[in-house]
Amino acid sequence: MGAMIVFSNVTKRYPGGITALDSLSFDMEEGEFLFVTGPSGAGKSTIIRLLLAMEMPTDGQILLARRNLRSLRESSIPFLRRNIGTIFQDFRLIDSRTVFENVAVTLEVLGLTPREVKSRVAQALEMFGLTRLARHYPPMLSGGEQQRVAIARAIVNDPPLVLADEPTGSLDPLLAVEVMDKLLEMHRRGVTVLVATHDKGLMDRYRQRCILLDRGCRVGEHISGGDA
Amino acid sequence: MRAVTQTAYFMRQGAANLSRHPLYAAVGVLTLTVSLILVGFLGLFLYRANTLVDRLAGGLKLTVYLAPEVTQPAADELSRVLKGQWPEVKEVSYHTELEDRERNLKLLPAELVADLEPELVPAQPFLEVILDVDLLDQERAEALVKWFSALHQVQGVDEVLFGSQKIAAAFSLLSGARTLGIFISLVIVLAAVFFVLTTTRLIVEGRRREIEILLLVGATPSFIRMPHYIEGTIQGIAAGLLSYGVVWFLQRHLMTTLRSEALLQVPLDLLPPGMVAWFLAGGILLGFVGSALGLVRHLRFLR
Ligand SMILES: Nc1ncnc2c1ncn2[C@@H]1O[C@H](COP(=O)(O)OP(=O)(O)OP(=O)(O)O)[C@@H](O)[C@H]1O
Ligand SMILES: [Mg+2]
Repeated sequence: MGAMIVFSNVTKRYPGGITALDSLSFDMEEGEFLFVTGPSGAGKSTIIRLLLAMEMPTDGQILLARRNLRSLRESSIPFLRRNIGTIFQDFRLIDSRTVFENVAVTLEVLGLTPREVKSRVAQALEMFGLTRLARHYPPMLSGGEQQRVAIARAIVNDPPLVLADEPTGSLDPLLAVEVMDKLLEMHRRGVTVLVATHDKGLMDRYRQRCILLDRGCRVGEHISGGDA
Repeated sequence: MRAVTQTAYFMRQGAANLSRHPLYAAVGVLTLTVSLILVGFLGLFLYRANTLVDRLAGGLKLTVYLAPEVTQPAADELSRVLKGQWPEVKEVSYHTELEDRERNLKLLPAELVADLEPELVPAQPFLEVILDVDLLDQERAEALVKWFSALHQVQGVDEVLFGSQKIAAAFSLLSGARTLGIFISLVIVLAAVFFVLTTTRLIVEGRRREIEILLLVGATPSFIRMPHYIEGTIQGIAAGLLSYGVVWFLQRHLMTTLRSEALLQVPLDLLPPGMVAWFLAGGILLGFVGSALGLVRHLRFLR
């Protein structure tokens, strides 16, 4: 098994002088589960945006599945993103499309036939207990249901990597646990999962590797769920 | 196989987008319709203006009356001089005394002509000079009038008559009509483009989130663009038919009323045959270009 993600001395400065990441280094093995945590403004979301090629680092190198993101051509970005399932605090669902259609987009961009799309979406909905909501629109669903739709969309094409930015941020504790359990289930199936969160209580329910950021620097690393 | 799947998908999405956002769809079609009707009336205006200009321009001729003893070779020589001096002179034709008499006879009342000795009708040879208005400007027009007025001092030239209108006055009317035409065209075309652009911008703005989400799950820009183009084209077709319908209605009801009230004397056919094709083509073009321009700045991966 090789490294899925390597950050070496990555610095990200935004115009206006804010340094979101300051010479940050860490890596993540294929199939690993990792929490990234830290106070607001620590740079958690920046890591995720860099991995999705929504931004380019100001300095340093990022390797994703051995590809250097700096030398990625803009036209290759969509193909990179097809290998990453993404989950956000605000769900990012298309309100004018049904649950079924929202999950289907991930497969449609791949050019699958309607038949293939239908059967794979049906499977994913089944897996997340969403089958009866297939024809509903996101605004009609609860937060937990919406986040389950977002997760189904993220993994319906079996990506090797899932990135989650505060996936439980807008859910009540019970639903948060449910969502986190789903992500760990993905991990058990061999998917590499990176979760950015500042919910310490939630992290401590699981024994996973966890790196702590502050103002763009790594200030600690431990296994969550210890006796502390 | 993949291409077929993709094309079918784009078509379905294009149509689905319209039913997902019925309000946007309606606003889009209305915008295109109004723009098409504006541009259509512009076309009509320009066409009418052109006919008017042609008619006026046709009057821009002058007649140089020659002494009776002037013969064809001498007249030809004079023609060459006129043409050489004034590039604005498009055509000079020589007419004999006989031809002049015939022309004058036609102008007299028939009962008078009946018992009139033809020799009693005054006549003399003349040169008809036709001017090319496109080459004239105000200053040249004045200089030309002055030059031709002085021509009667030349031996063999009796008199110079300036067409039915005064050339300089006619000219300023013409150039005024042109400037006005260009100005109005510009305003109308700008208004139509602005109108379509603003609406597509608003529509795309309302869909920014959707576009961002599609980019996030790995859609290529063309994957996002294609359904959008198809959507714009469908709206364009609808707008083409709708604007044709509106103009047809105007023609049918408004025009007949106007004409029967004798308010409008000129026969005005707003819908010559083949017009429906122009409306459709215009609608498709506007719909396509509008949807393309509206998207441009939203298809960025890096910001
Ligand atoms: N587009 C941007 N332009 C300028 N500054 C930005 C931009 N995005 C983020 N920042 C700044 O970069 C720093 C890190 O932001 P980031 O979103 O990575 O923090 P975070 O750890 O995710 O915080 P939170 O827990 O609040 O989500 C912050 O100071 C933030 O204000
Ligand atoms: Mg964040």
